[in-house]
Amino acid sequence: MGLGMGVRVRRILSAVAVLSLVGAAAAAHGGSDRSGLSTIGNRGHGAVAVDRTMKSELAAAGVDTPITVMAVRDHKEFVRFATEDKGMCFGVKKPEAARFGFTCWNDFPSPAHPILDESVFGSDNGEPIHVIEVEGFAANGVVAIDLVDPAGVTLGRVPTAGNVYSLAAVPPSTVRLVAVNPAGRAVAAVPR
Amino acid sequence: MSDLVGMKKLAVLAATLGLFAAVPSVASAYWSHYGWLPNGYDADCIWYATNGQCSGWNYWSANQVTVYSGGPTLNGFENYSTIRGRWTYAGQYTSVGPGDLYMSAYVKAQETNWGVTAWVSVWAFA
Repeated sequence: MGLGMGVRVRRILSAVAVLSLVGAAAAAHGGSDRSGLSTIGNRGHGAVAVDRTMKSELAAAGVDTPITVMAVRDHKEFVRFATEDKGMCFGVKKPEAARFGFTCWNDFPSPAHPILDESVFGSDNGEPIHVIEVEGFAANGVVAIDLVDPAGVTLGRVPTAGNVYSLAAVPPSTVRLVAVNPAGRAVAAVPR
Repeated sequence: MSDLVGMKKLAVLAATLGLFAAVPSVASAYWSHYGWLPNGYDADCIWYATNGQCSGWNYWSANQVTVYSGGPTLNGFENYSTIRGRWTYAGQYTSVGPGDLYMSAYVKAQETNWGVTAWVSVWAFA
C-alpha cells in the first residue's frame, strides 16, 4: 500500500512537472509573440522648424514639447511630439510642405495597437480603395509590414527601421497592410 | 496732453498686436460634423454619399477628426476623380491636409466609414 501510494505520488508529481513545463513553454511562446509591442526605442533628436500656421494648429492640439525627428525616409521626416491630453503624436513631414499631417493616440504603442499607420489609401474613378503610399510608425516588436492583395496574397514586405516604415512604390493591388513580429506572425493590420 | 494721446495710441497698438499674438491664425472657413458615421445620405459627397459626410468645395488646409468609438474612418479629401485619406481608429486624433495625400488644394473634405458605425468629431478649416 505504501509502495502504491509512492508510485501515485510520483505520477502526480511527474504530471504536475510536465504541465508546468508546457505552461512555461506556452507562456514563453506567447511572450515572444507580444514582446516589444509596447515600446519604442527611437525617441528622436533635434527640433523640427514649423511655420506660424502650423504652430497655431499644433497649439490648438495642445502640443507642449519640441517636435523631434525619428528618421528621414524618401526625403520625408518622420517626427514625434507630445500633447497635453491626446498622448504621443507622430507625423510625416514632406520637405517642401509648410504643414504636415499627424496622428495622436494614447494607446500606441501597445499589444493591441503596435503600429500607428499614416499610409495613404484611396482610389481613382470608383476603383476599389487601395494603398497608394506606405508610411507609419511601429513598436520595437514589429519588424516588417506585409503588403497584401484582396485575395490575401502577400505582394511584398517593407522592413521597419528605427521604428518607422516607408515605401513609395507600392504594388497597385495592395489593399491591406499587416504588421509582423520577428517570428513572422501577424500582430496588427490596417484596415483590420 | 499730447503725451497722453500718444500713450493711448501706443496702448491701442499694443492691445491690437497682443490680440494677433493670442490668435495667430483665424480660419477663413470651416466645416464640421459631430455624431454618427455613416449618418444617412449626404449629397455633398461625390463618391460614397451613404457612407460619408463631406464638405463643400474649398482650399482646405486640413481635415481633423477624433474617432470616439467604432470605425475606422477614412479621413481625407475628394474631388470628381479621386478620394483619398488615412484610416483613423477609435481613440485617435488625426489631422491631414490635401498635400499629405498628394491631392490638389481645391477639394472637398470627406470622412467615410464602411466598418463599424463610428461616433466622430470632424473639423476642416481653410
